[in-house]
Amino acid sequence: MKPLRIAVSGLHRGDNPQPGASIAGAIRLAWPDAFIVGLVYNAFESGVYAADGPNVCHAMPYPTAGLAAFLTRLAEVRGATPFDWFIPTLDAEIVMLAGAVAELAALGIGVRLPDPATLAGCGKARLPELAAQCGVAIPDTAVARDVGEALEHAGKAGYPVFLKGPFYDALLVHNPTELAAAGATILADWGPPLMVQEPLVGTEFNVMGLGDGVGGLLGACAVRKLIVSDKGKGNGSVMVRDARLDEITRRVMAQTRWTGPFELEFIRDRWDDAYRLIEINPRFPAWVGFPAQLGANFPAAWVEWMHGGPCRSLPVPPAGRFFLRHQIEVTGDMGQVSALLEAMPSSNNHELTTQPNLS
Amino acid sequence: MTMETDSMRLGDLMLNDRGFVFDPNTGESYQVSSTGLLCLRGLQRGATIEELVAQLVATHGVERITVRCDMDSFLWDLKQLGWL
Repeated sequence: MKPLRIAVSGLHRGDNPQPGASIAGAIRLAWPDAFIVGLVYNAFESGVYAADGPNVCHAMPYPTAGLAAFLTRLAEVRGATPFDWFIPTLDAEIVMLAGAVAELAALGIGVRLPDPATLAGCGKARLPELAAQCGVAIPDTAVARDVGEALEHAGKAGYPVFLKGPFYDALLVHNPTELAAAGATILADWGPPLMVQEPLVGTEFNVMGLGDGVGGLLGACAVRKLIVSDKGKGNGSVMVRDARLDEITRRVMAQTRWTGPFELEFIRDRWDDAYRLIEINPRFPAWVGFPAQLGANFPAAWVEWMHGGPCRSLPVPPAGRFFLRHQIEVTGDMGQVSALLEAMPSSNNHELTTQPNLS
Repeated sequence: MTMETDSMRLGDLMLNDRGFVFDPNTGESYQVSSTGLLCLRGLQRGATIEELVAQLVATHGVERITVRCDMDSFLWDLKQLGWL
């Protein structure tokens, strides 16, 4: 294998951790000399400054700037720091790039993503349809185009309900006033649609894996969240083994013919013990480094797959092994921030220029 | 759908000598007494309820009827957890 040069995004590891730093770590676990290019949207993404962070970081325009701007910048970055593959980790990137695989290939950049139709079919708004096709249970969910429709659905379902956006955010609202405020916020941040979903009482489980694109799996593993942050993030999880989760995962993969990394989110309902599929994330999760440390290195398998295989085996890690998210301080120098800021598209800078210590 | 049998759930339980029990199916963990641990290990290796009761009567010097009542209560708890 020629020296590995790979770009990764999503490097922040704060209270809402992104997967990029874990992906970089997992790749370096397999190939210590791998050259990692970090693609960042904010000069304060913590992974930029981690000791085992990317070799080089480059600023990118937010996906909202559009595909053309994104591809132009990718070409500039690749010209300055060559790389062969890109693992996008943010939902908004993936939605945009899924339909641009050929354009990326023309730039010399390989990706492994579900096609746009598959991706659209697995979005939150289409989850009920997919679940019916796969015979998988989901929470009662209604899709609304605006706040008015969401109020109507919630009125029929009864409060409280979860209000969700197309990509991120799931807010529990207890009355129409809360719903209207939350709906306006989600629509402003992410646009329509809104999902009105029944809240379930139960335990959260996640399955991550790699779909082979022809209906099968290169590997998968499942965890139960042990510690859930106030943002709903799993700050600690334990490996579990349940044939029912395996079966549901196989069905979803077979139905979607999923290509690439994925995470399925479930709640195991306390009342009937059934798993209900909450969401499909089209990317490695932030905890991807956990199975990698137990011998199931999914990012490394992804790399070997991109090379044309054969991929390493992805053994199911032993049940009972757990991770806890352990935050540490990484240090940087304002000179590093300045260098990233200089290359940062002006549309990205608003978050930085409002930092008091930068004014 | 492939469904696990009850005996698989019980057989899959991970136990240690301090009475810590981890259910790999649910990710839940529990602490049991030394007597509970003895029973769980016995059930895992296929012992009958009567064999376990006889063993406890012999080792703990308690009347059989008392052991049997406690055993039934314990088995009910295991059933509630889906292990039996």
